[in-house]
Amino acid sequence: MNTYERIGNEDPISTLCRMAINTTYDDIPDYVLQYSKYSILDTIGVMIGGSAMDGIRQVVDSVKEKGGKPESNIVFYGGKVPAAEAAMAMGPMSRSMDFAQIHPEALHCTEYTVPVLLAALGLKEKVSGKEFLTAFTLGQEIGIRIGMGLKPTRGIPLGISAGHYIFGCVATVAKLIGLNQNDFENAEGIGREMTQPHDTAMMHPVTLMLKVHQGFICQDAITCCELAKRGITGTRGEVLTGPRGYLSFPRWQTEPDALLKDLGTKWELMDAEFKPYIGGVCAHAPISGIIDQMGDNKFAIADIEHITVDLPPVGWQLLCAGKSGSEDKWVEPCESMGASQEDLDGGRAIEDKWNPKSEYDCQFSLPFLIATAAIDNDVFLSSFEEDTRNRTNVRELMKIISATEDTSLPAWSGRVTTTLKDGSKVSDIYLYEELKGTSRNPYTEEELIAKFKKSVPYSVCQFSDSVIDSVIDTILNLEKSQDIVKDLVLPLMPH
Amino acid sequence: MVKKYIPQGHEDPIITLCRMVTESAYNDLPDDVSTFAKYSILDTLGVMLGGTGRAGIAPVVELAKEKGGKEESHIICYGGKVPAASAAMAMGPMTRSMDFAQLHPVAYHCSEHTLPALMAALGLQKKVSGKEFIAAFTLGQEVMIRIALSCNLEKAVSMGFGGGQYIFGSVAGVGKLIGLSQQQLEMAEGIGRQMTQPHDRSMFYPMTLMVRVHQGFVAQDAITCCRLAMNGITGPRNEILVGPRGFLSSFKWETSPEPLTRGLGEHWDIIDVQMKPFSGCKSTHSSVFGLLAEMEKHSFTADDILAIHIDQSSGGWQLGCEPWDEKLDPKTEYDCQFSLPYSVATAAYDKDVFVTSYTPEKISRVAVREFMQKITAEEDSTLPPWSSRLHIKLKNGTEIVEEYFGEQLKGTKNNPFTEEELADRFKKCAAFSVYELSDSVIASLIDKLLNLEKVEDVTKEIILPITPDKE
Repeated sequence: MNTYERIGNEDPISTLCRMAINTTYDDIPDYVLQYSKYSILDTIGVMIGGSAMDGIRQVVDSVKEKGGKPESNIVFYGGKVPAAEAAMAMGPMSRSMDFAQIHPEALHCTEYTVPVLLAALGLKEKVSGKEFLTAFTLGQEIGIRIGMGLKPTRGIPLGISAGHYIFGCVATVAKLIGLNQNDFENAEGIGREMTQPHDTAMMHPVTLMLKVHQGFICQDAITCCELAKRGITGTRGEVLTGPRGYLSFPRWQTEPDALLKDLGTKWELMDAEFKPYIGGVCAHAPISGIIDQMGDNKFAIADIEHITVDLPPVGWQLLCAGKSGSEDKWVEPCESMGASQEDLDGGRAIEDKWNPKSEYDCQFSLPFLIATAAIDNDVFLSSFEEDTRNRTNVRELMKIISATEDTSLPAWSGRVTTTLKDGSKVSDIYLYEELKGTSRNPYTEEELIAKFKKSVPYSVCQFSDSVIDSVIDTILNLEKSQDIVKDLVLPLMPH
Repeated sequence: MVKKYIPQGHEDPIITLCRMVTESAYNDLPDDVSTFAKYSILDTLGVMLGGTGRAGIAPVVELAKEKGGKEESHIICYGGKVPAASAAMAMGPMTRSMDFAQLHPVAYHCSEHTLPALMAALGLQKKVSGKEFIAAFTLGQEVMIRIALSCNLEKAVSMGFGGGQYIFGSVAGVGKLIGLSQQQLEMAEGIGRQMTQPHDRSMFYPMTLMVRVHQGFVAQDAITCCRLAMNGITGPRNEILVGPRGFLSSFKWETSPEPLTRGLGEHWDIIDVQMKPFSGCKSTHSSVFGLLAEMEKHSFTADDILAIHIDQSSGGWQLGCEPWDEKLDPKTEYDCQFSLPYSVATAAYDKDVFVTSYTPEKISRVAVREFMQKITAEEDSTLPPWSSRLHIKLKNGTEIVEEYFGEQLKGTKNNPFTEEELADRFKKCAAFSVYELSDSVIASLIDKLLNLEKVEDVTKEIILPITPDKE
């Protein structure tokens, strides 16, 4: 096993690039490769399920209208366009369901690396499964390590999020197309200047940019690599650290030591969790909590008097901000935020987490997610369809759910306190680590396959069972594929 | 009658700015503003022409052409029609490569982003008149400059960071040109807000081509933002610029939202933009200007100088002077553009700093290299921005100490270029275009640009003459 350490005063991005360039498929431990295959399987399932959701067709149409060199396929929709444009079209699909993997510290990851890699396939004549797996694994690892250095979870309570996603995308494309150390570093240096803020403003209220952002990042990552290959130089001296480095920019304390710690021996991508439910991960512990409480204590919706959910700051900011406090402290958002009637009439309404309207409003509404979980025992795509999300029973139950922020709770956890009409009370803290899909409670291969298949019916184009079985088999045996486009991408094109 | 734009209720200032953009037309612009906008377009287009052959431009153009696609917009000088966003990527870097384009003393770079985005966006409309083009340019510039004024960029640069606000102006300009509604423009700006790349100082240490290629990414994204908004993609609208999650809150230095809407509609910040008298980083210009003035005043030559010490104001200190050892040994064109000693030494011998100052032969001149060793510099935070104090010692024992302030420089509001001088600048730059332009074409272009309000079809009358394409 190779280890990689900083040489002299080089910026850590140089060390990370060296690792990416010098690491081959055979250098990656088997358990990491296996995990990468599961990640790819899960993300492609999520892309299939998200392919027909709001905003996707508009972006695909916009890309196809521009046309251009037929390099890369757009999965599910068809058509070949320049690789960077295919990346723009496919990036949003991975976020649409809000069901892709998430790392507890670095946040979103495969949503960027899988679509950009699928798009970059068109830049090479043929890519084997081993090459694909290697590029994916290294891109994931670099993106996650830079995310761990950035600590975006410290930014979210301040209203700011991340911007590091492009680094992993650039790494995965650069590895796939075989950039040398010089060009690889230039590509990352160019990418460093494209670290868009991915700000939480786009979640209040939730906008389509939340998913389209992935397209911009994937497009830019390919452009960065193509420009570096043509001799364009990017930042080299202080890319990540130093007074002008990326980690010096945020208003919060960053952790540069995480960038290179045990590089080559410890694989941080193993901590990326598979989501058990659709929607913001910060809702998953309380969702799991209400389902468990109802199962363990044998009570029904009709028995519930009131549900209170306490969330740590990140979850609070993403799922509850806009209408706050316990029931007796609720304030009308229009008054609290000073919105005029004209603002509201003009479509610039202040969000209301207790009255979410669109599919993506619902994905980020704690009361909606908790009410849906209590009624359906699950939160999945069907939960966000127009009829389902407007169900009277869901809306009525939301009225007796309140939430508070609790800074003492561990990240991604939640305390659920359910008061029943008979006066009894059930209360517990539900921890992230215990959730299905985390390293302590992983999905089995069979469960991952079932999870994949659960998304398939929502695809924008129909696939036969045999095609789906073949795609699953290809991904789970990716190292045997000699041609990823032929074995994986073409079967996912509309027929 | 001047129309004022005042924030309504608690709307984010971007909403007010968008209202100004969507509701203003050419006829609403004061004459001095539209005239200044024409000068800005003339100047920036000249700079683009001169920059077309510089390092890094051809590879970006080749990538855009290789990608191909719908034939929407022309790539000037190189030819070929590509999707508007790709044309923006190709043309954006041309504006920065000479480092000769306009600069606002507080808001910094502006037309470098607005003009190429607009030129690329021409392909999205059947026909754009000169008046429409001037209006879109002016409003885009004004939006961007106001946002930049509120970012406190001087503080940012001193801390090692740049802007990121550039995309707002490009989106506003393109959105106006293609006729986005108020709602669509707000959405486009909201999408753009998520694409506010840092434009960090790190790309200057060492100097990289990304300093100029960045403009291409911004222009490309601006067009994509507008197209997506037209297609119904939504972006944030509530806290785009201000509020806890707004753009101005993302910085770790203090920002001031007041300039965003102060006097909006009545006062035009774009007329404070300065045209550069020399090629290269603006931080070097007061010293170059000062040395040339003293050489003329006291009738001495480079060979008469024993030593020069420069006290440099803080704003541009880092860019032109740090690290000093590297600034004394610049190797590439863009190293030289950001080297105070190289710029001053070149000026001493050539009486100018222009694109011709950066040829390999000029860069390696022994006399200039030796002269650079006579120069020392020190940061002086008491000097106003973009200013310097020159201490010149001549071999005959004469000592000269003089201060040169940013606002005295040629090209500023206090010392503007005349129309004739602007035309000469354009000609001087156009001579370096990769697409050879005859004197008559250049003369016609200058005439059209100075009378842009009379042009009926900007593509036909301005773009095609500087493009190998026939139509």
